[in-house]
This record gives sequence, structure tokens and C-alpha cells, in this order.
Amino acid sequence: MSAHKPASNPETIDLKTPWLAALLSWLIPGAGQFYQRRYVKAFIFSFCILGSFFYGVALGEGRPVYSAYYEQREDQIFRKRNYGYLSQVLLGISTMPALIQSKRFEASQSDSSLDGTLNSHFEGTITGEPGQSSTVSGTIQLQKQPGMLGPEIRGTLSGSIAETGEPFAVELAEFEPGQDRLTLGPQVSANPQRKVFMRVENVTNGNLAPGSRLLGYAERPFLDWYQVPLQDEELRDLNARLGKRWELAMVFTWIAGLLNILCIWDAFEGPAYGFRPRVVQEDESKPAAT
Amino acid sequence: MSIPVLFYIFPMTAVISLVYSASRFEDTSAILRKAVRLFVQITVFLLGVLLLLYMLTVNL
Repeated sequence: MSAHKPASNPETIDLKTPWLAALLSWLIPGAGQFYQRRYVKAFIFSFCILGSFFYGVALGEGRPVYSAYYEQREDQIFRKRNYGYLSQVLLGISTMPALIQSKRFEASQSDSSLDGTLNSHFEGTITGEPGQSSTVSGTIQLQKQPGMLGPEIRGTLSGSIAETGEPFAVELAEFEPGQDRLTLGPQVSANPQRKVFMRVENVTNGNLAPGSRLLGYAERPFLDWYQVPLQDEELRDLNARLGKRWELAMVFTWIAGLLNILCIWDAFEGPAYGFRPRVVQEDESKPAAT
Repeated sequence: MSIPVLFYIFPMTAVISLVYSASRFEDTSAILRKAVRLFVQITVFLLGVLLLLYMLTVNL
């Protein structure tokens, strides 16, 4: 009988340390098989499972993955559950950010303040006298500055008016400094766009009236919206816009998680048919009796 | 152009077939052979269900 390496032996597989391989496969699908030097299977598992997971994420505009969170409403705390996360969490590292984002979201639900500076693309409208409204887009820069009643959010917006193509630049201030009116949407939210509501204090370029209202959305940084819990309003919006594709997006991520159970089990126990984990017998190491 | 929702069945079925077969066998050719067979079986079954539903609802 010819000698074979353990990994390519037709009857046995060297599973190395099975629990470690299973753990690796949970963290990254196929990583356990890679550790066991079963490269073809590692490729099949990682390509298929991660491929369908990220395809689902892309289909759902990056938002099908989120975990449960607490929401405070009218002095009561509600726990919002996402049962789909129970299968998504089987994908290990790819879905772990959801747990962190859930905590961040809970901590910043009522936080509409500005942490550092905001410098991003903006789209919205500037409304002056009744009936006078201009659609604008450009770059918005906001930061906290000392004001009469404590720190205020101030900044600039420069860009162009959509209707005429005319460039403009304005200075912005909070609409009602010191009041409870929301100037900005929360820092951490599942929406890639952050609401901005401000007053045009000065016009440095262009034909716009000071005192107008600016209402629109600035781009939210990726780390402030990816895998953040979806609220009812955002869920309704996604269902309305994406329809069945939203359902499909979630199904793809759920199936990917469930398929990873097979991958984890394969790393732990080897394939179901035809091969067995290599077990070193005691009499293998002893010389055969003559 | 958007892809009809029904067509998402094919990549999903292919992925399920490949991963399931990979968890059953070690030999690459056996994995691929069984995956193709499973893909055909699932697809035929689903198309059969689709045809049945179509026939039951065609005159409604």
C-alpha cells in the first residue's frame, strides 16, 4: 500500500484541532478548512457563504443586518427584536459590528449634537418667502462654536442651485439657538443620510435671502449607519422602495448564516460521507510483530 | 434593467447546492457532481411548484 499525506488520504482527513477549526469557520466561513489545509473546500465555503451574505447586504442597500436594541419612548423602554439576526450572527465577524452599533445607537438616540465637525455632501432646499424655494446641492461644513447661550452649531454651505446652476455660498446657524428644536438628526442611525435643519444667516455668494430655512440631508459616515438598528420609519421606507428585493436581501443573509452551520460542522467533524477524521491508533506507532 | 425576482432562485439554489455537497463529500469532483445534481433537482421541484400554482390560478 502506498503512503499518503494525511490530508489527501482517501479514507482519512487530518482535522488538526477540530474545535479551533470550527471556531475559525464561525468567525470567517471557510477559515477552519483553510487552517486544515483543505483549500478547495475553504474556497467553496467562503465564496458561496460570504458571497450570498454580501450580495444580500448590497441588495438591501447595506441595511439588512442589525441586532436588537432598546428604545425609549414616552418614559417607557421598549425592546425591539430582530429575530433574523439569530441566523445572521452565525456568520461571525461579518455581523459582529451590529452588536456594537446597537449599543452606540441606544446611547445616541436623543443625541442630535455635533461630535467634532461635519464635512460632507449635502442635498436639500432653501426656503425663503412663501412660495420661494430653491433646490440646492453642495458641500456642508458644520462645527460647534461658543455662542450667547452656550455652544452653537454653525457652519457654511457652498454649491449650486439645481434650477439655475448658479453657484452660491451661505453661512449657517442653528434655527433657534438654545431651544429644543432639532438642528441635526442623531449621529448614529441606520439612514446613510443625516437630516439638517438650519437658518441661513449670511449670504456670501449668490442670490439667496438671509433668514431663509435650509432643510435637507448630509451624507452620514459609513461607520455611523452600517449595521445600525432600523427603526419603523426606515423599515417602512425600505419596504416601499425596494419591495420584494428587501425581503430577498434579508433571506440571502439568513440563508448564508444557516449554511455556515454546515461549514462549521464540516470543520469540526469532516464531511458526512466517505471520509473519516484521522485517528492515530496506538499500534500504528509500534513496530508490527513478526 | 431590474432582474425579475424569480431569477434570484438560481444563484441561491446554486449556493445551497454547492455548500450542502461540500459538507457531504471531500473529493472536489464528487462535490461538483453532486452539487449539479442537487441544483437540477431543486430547480425542477421549484419550477414544478410554480407550474402547479400557475395552472391552479390561470382562470381566476
